[in-house]
Amino acid sequence: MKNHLSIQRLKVLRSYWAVITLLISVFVLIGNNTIGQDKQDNSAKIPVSMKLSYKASDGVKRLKVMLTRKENKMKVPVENAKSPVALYLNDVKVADPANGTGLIGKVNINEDGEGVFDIPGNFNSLTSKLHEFKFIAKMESDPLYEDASDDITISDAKISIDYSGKDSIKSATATLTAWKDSAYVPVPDVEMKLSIKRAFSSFPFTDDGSATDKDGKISGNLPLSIPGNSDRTITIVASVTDNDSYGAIETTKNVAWNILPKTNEEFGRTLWSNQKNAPILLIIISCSIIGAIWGTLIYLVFKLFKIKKIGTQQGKVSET
Amino acid sequence: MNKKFKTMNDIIKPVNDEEAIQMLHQFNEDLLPKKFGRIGVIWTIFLCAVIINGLFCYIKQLRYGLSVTGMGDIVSWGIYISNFVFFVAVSLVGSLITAVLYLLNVNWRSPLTRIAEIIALACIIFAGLIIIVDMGRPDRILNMFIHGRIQSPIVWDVIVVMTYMAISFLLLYFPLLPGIAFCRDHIPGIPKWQKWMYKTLSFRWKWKPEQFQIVKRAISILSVMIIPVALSIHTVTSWLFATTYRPGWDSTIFGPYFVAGAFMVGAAAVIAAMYVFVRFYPRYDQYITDKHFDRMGILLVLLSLIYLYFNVNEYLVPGYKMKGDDADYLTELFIGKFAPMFWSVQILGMILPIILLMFKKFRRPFPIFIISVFVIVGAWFKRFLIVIPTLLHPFLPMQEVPEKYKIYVPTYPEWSITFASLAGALLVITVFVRYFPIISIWEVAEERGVSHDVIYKHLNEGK
Repeated sequence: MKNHLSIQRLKVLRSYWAVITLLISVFVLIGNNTIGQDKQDNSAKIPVSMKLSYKASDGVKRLKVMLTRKENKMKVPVENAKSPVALYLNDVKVADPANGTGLIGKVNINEDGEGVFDIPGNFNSLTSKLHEFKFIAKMESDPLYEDASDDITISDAKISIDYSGKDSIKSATATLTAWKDSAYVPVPDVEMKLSIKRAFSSFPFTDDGSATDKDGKISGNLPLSIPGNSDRTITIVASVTDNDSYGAIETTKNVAWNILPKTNEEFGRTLWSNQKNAPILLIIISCSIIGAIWGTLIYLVFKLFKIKKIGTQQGKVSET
Repeated sequence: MNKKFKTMNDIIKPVNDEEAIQMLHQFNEDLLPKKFGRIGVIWTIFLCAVIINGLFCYIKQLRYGLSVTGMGDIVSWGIYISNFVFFVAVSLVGSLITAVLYLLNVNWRSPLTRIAEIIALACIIFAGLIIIVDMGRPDRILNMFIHGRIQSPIVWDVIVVMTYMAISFLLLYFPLLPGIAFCRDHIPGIPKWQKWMYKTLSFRWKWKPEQFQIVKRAISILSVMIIPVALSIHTVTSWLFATTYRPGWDSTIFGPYFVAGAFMVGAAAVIAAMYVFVRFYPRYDQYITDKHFDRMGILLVLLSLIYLYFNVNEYLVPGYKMKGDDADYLTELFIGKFAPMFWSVQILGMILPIILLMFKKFRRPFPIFIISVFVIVGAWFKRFLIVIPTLLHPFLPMQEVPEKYKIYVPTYPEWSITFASLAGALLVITVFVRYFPIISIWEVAEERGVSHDVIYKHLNEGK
């Protein structure tokens, strides 16, 4: 009889679980339709375009590969390329340790469709005799995307910065020089910008579209009221952006500066101030509430031990 | 013992001490925790397996960072946060059943209080844990305490979650003390560690009037205290959204809207748990009767109606205006790609339960259990709808970003960790039921007229 009842109960249960499973499946299916919104058709290889760019920043040379594809007549980044992009100097061949030509390295494409490759430190010594570099980027045999390549030729150039901060007018001059025949010579008529490095970007103090003069120089006066870094310096940046011959070049120089950044204390006690400058009333009210509640909780925990004490004392009596 | 208590109205009160002791014996026999049967063991193993799978995925997340999830620059809060809001919502039931009904002197709540409290505690523990999971770097939780700004709703949330956890624990523990003492004195043949556990946790409970006085006073204090804290926890959680200027979140009624939804899903969770306990423990139907299901059903209808009212306000008013970015967001919800989920949640998870539960026959245990499951599943997806569609509609247009940023698809590790957290909460409840009485013996005894003196005699007899 008991067994029969158990079997019956199990049968009933099984039917209940079937109903529950069904219900949850309905939600999950609906959810799945909605959560897993749009999917791509990956049946054929997708054509992509590659752009190789070069940047020298304070002597550190960097190659950047950007892969894009077309979607609804718009360029969108390629986000899931599996094959790395091989980077070469001058020729597509294995690395030549004698002069640094051939394969320099390989770079993976990230989810933003970008691959950034910092050229190793020994590159400069290996290629000391070279003053023109042809960089080649090639991506081959990717399971999703068609093969792609790009190349860029860069002439050896550098920027130096001079700062004059003695007078009431503080100015900076940047000079762009490039290798020609057997020496670095000034380069005229190249767009260059002088700016001050800020937290997320830079603040320019030369006009847009300013170019180097016949001596390869560009000058600008620094805004005197701008706050500097917390270590009483300011960072001047001279940059050439995406030049056909020289790529992107950037040089920075730290100079002494007396105006410190504004501290949060200057805003006073507000809801948007830092931890130390919360409004007094808010601190008092919140601390009072938290203190009252947690004080009561601690009092109740002590009461637990009182229960134990009562049990210990009177337990002995009851046991005797 | 041949007396049956079929419904609350059939409660037979003892006429003398002997009968009272006999009743107490029956309560002990019925309500003290028992070893799991085969289904209980399989259920526990299943939960452990889900948790282990989630732990493996969490280790992967720790190793590779949040990049293993489907979250990105645009949808930076995914199903972890939906799940957090869900857990916080369910946890509010502790304050509803234990405190609100206690203060309103609703006497039929006695067999349900502990179920509500353990659900509340389990959910609030996992609400706290899932937030740490969402942070990616768990060590950074310390920064909340070191660098946290008291002006920030995130700091308020951390404080209020911890406070609610502490209150829920004490509100579970104080009334449990006599229950642990019952286990200590009346469960035969248990292993030494279990005996030691009961002995330690019972705090030398001897059924003395002074001890009862402390417990009852503590319950009163905690019941009063938990209500504002419970309202705060979900209000502050809603403010995490409402203080941010985004389509769908820029609302002044988010606090009460969240609280109403939380009470509704919490009541449904208690009903579902009641049904499971009645189904799996043969004599629990003597304590959790059809009347309890009926009353809880009425309560669920009431709470659902309040929630429906807030839903109408929340969607109809901006839907009438259809201004700017709100229009895109609402169109997506009403007739766009989120529409199937949105209407399923509104109809299957709220409107249909309200209509069905208005009829008495749907407030019987099995139908109301099924309806409660609908409400719970609907409530989880509702939290998904609150979090994700808004994030997919930022004020700044999504231009020249990878295609995957424009959609949110939770990854396998994300689902695994989310399911593991749900399984974790259920495991806490399961383990509790295995070792502690889920229906408060002394409160049921008290409700049925068994005095503390009789219980004291019974205790000595047990020795």
